[in-house]
Amino acid sequence: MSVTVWIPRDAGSLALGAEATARKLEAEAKAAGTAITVRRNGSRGLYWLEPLVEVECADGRIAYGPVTARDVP
Amino acid sequence: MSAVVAAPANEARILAAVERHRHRDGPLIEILHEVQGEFGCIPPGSVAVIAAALNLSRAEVHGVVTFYHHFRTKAPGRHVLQICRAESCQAAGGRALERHAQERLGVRFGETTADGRVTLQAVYCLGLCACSPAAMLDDEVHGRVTAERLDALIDAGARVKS
Repeated sequence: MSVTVWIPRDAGSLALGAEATARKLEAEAKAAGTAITVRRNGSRGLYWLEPLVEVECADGRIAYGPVTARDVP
Repeated sequence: MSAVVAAPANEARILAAVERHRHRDGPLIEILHEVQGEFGCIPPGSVAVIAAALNLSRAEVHGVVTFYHHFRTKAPGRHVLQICRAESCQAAGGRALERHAQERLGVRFGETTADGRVTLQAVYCLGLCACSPAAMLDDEVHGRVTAERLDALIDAGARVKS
């Protein structure tokens, strides 16, 4: 059962490192053997929290931000 | 500018760009974007070629090329670093970032470093106002740029792309 993680690809998010965050997340998940599906979305407009990473769980989506590549592990 | 003739090989590529966009309403700017994408600038002689192909006056085409700062008529350095000088970035320390960039690279806006590596340009709003100050290195946008991050970008550009 794969966990869906949403990472924006909005220009503002990319300007703050969203691409690096996405790549690091995929790499770390693969290394840990955790199944995740990374989906790319737009920004919710909360730029001070970008990159805003949302994780889908039973209660809905939980957002973490700002998430840089360094924060991923 | 009107006396300059485009090299035949260039002319063919420019005309190909014209044909790809001719069907549009107002194709000129799209054509210029493609030409600059291919050549890195709008090469000498392009104005005459494009004007003739679109049945526009050379003055009209010259006017569009020179009006927009984005279009340049000289080939740039290997990397183009654009620093935003608009209001939001100014309010968030953009002026200090500009000075740092100019000192670090040893050039002013519009100039290219002596080794041809970086062309420094001013840009007026990258639409990243919420994460000022902003800069664009080649095709990548960067927000909340500090002097340290700018140095890292300049150095990384040297290692990765050149």
